[in-house]
Amino acid sequence: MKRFAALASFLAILSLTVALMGGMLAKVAEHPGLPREVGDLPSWFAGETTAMRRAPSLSAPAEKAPAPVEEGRAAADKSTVADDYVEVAGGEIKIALKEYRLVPDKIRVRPGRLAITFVLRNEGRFAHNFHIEGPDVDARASKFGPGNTVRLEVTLKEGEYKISCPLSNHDKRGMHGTLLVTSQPKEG
Amino acid sequence: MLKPALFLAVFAATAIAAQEGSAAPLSPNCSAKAPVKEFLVATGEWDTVPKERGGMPAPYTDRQQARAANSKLERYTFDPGVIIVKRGDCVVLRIHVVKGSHHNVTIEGTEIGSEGAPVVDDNGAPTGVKAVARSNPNPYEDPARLKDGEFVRGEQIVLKFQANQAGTYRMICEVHTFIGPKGELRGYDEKGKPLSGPMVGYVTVLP
Ligand SMILES: [Cu+2]
Ligand SMILES: [Cu+2]
Repeated sequence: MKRFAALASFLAILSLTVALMGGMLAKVAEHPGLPREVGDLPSWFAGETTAMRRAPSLSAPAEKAPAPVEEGRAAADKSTVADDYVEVAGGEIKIALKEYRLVPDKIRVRPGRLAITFVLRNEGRFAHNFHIEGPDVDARASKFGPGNTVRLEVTLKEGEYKISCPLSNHDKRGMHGTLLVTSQPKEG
Repeated sequence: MLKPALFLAVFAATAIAAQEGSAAPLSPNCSAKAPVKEFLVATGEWDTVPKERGGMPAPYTDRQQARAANSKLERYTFDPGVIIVKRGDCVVLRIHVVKGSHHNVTIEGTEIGSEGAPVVDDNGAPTGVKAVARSNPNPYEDPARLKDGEFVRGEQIVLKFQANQAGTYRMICEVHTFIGPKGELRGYDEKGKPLSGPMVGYVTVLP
């Protein structure tokens, strides 16, 4: 009986120690001050470290980033033609948002599966949103923070749509693009 | 007697560790028992027109950008520019536009910002207006149309969030700040146009 009590106390103390260490590690990890992989800012900006940690990114770090079109191809994971439009078959379209770009920003959709789900991922440092406007469609998602992904479902028809981020001046600074729904081959 | 106490302690420590990992660094909803810390932040401005020794306006260089004589060198500010709270606080920032025709506010690494934020009176009561796309209520000032998150001179908006994670967060106005590719805050946009900025404040959450 004594042995059992000693063993139980030992186990209790051991698990207490482990739990406290876990708690302390969590506290330390939550504090900025850890080295970051990209960027030149001081590491103690909490938003900075949070955004970096939560958005490990579809695309490569800024220095090694390929041209936007290349990124777009990777993101859309679809075949492309000679102009700088990304071809997608419809269904699900992935778009990454960052300061101040949409990747990809030129998208051509073949008519067919025109019930589209946009999968929108915020790879930036600040909040963004998504707006699509064109024939019979004027839809927006709701604002979402860095590292988050939201979905927006719309039904498109043939024609040209403007896609953009509706927050403040993001559109003007470059967060906009074109989505074409067409059965025509590229114009050249 | 000792054993249940130890077990409870272990359980509590584990629960705390688990809870800390989950929440967003700043979350838009405050828990009911979080202490409320309210701050009034005004938008201020510093400006000058550099002059020659003789007192005549002079052409000058601002951060490698050439500016003609009589160009105003200006920067908007949040006043106070540093907000200090404790982790777990429910932070209420009332932002009142005094200088500048319009601004927006967004906090880095979070979804907290002025988009959709309520415009309030001096008692903090909502006026029914929100910082969303709309026509400018100040007809004498540009721009004619405001976009999501923008609010104008004479308006006071409220940002409310719970501080879940310690650290220093940058709070910027994107109308008056250009964010460079590595997150640098610049006073000129990509075309070299002066932005009267960068307009930045800091929210420090103590552990
Ligand atoms: Cu945006
Ligand atoms: Cu501003």
